[in-house]
Amino acid sequence: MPNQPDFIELKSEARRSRGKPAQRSARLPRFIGCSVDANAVLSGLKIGVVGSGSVGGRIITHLARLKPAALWIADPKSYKEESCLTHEIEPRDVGRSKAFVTARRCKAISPGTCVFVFDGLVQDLPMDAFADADLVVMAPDNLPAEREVGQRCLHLGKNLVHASLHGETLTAQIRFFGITGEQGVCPACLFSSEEWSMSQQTQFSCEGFLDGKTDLHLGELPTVSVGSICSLAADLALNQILRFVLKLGEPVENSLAEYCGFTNRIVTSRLVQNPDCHCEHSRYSIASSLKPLAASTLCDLANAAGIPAYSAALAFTVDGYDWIEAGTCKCPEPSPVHRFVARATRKNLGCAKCRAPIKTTPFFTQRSVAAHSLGPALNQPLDMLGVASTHCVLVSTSDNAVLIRRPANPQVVHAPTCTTRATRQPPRWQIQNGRTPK
Amino acid sequence: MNAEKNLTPIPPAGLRALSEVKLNTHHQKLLDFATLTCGGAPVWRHRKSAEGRDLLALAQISNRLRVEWLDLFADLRALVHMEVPVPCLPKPNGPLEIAPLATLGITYRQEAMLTATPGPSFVQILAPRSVWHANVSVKYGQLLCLGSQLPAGIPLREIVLMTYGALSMMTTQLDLLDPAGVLNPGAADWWQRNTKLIPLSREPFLKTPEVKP
Repeated sequence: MPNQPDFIELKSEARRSRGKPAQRSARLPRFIGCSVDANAVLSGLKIGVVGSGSVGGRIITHLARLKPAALWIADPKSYKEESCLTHEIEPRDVGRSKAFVTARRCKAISPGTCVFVFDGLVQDLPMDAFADADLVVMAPDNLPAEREVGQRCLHLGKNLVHASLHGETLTAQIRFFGITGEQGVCPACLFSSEEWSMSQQTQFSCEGFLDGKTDLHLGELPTVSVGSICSLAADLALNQILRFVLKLGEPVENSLAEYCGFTNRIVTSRLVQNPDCHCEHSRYSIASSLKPLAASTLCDLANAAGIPAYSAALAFTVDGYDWIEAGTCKCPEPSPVHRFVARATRKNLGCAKCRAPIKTTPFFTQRSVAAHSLGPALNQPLDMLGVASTHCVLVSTSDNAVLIRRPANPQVVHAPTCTTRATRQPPRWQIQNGRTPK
Repeated sequence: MNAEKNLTPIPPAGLRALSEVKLNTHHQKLLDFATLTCGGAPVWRHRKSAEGRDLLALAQISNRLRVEWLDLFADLRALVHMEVPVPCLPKPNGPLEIAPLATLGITYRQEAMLTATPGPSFVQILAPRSVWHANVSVKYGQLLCLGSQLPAGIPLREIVLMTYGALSMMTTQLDLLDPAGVLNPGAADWWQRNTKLIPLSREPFLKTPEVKP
């Protein structure tokens, strides 16, 4: 998948310790009231984690010690000198990628866990990045990432754990969003108007526009806290995760657990969906294509999704690509383009009339394209429309959406299915190393 | 703009009452078709429908604006033709030409509803080419800057009125030392030396019978 941001799998390094890796069961307690086989559940657990900083990094390490099947780790930042004050790192890690350092530590602790790492913004990940995860955990330091992760979990039907803290009041807070339930709550349901504004805050000046550089600040909130509260937040998050996956005690979905260091009290409360939430509380159905997506037409994909190809409300979103309706060249009128262009490369197109390069313009560039504006392109293979390869295509109407993923293994035929714990599709990363997560 | 006389009167309460304007058949069809593919969260869908309706109502009463198409699928997008003088410099050392009509691509994003948004993010001038204006970019497809930041929730009708004022140069930013709003320094310098040509028009946006020349 050239030029398209995605997780990469971390391979095992040569083991430096002596003897065999420790078995989980050697230290796993028999939890009171646990009605499931804890060892089996943890062996099959797959968790995505967004943010591997002072809180997220510790969560990831805790998860690694549980020896799960797979971990996905995403963080765009690198360690700074100040990171030594709150992160569990050594000074030699300063300047290194948070995601990669944490991922390597996980792989060393649990070589049998498939560890996938992404050194970038969660907004840049493919739409189906967490489709194979059982649960998503986030500990970001900015509101746009919170909103983005929440929206993705809504679409993919994944429960979400959010660990945060407030250093000044020695407060650690864990919110468990039961997104898969009927009254699914997302992080944005709880946003105030100021938080909504910050979650979409961009800042650039016209001066920046002149030289082609846009200075994007994404509402970042630096973590100001002592390390102990960071680790407390991570520990509480793990506790909630264990209670959820092993069904321990009362259900934790749609709950807020908050510890205050001043009073030494933990308060729990319910989270309620906001009917006026600005995020889309809609779930995608997920299917696998039987052939490479680039070889399919959009009409084929609509039919595979069970949606009439000429429905007025039908729209398509090709992951990693924008639909270019028209562009400007030397011709007096905007030149029709009607092709997909990769967002990462922004390949220039040429005008057939004046032979000049066609510049894409914001007005005629769309991430999602309505079927009624596609015309004959609806029946052309995607590779003829400029799509070399893509992770997935979203086929949607106003009340239904199907995310069609590329085949996991071109040689293996999978029937379209919704992802559930019982009928989990083999992940695409299986191809890379030939191993199947246990 | 319209060959026939515009029969839709301006509401007594002014532009605040655009929602009370009864759309004619053509505009109603445009709105109905756009609403069919209106996507997003319910709050955003309602806002887009309302803003789209106001835009069509504004076109109906102004006699200066024609909406060619309206798209409410993701962002609100509208292709409009506006009767407004637009300064153009087709040849770098040639004379200034004033085009009587502008084709505009207007985009209203969800972020604009909730937060202050940069000025160049709303309007792109699709025609005429070679616009010679201090607040119109050259490199990025003739984006029109309406200010460094526009307030959160700004109504679309305000965007249209600001666009008219900017293109007719009734309001403009020419100060090279203040980069906010200046996207074409060469044009800003030229207009500073030719201020006698500003504004290009003094006509109000709404063509009422009392102020017709």
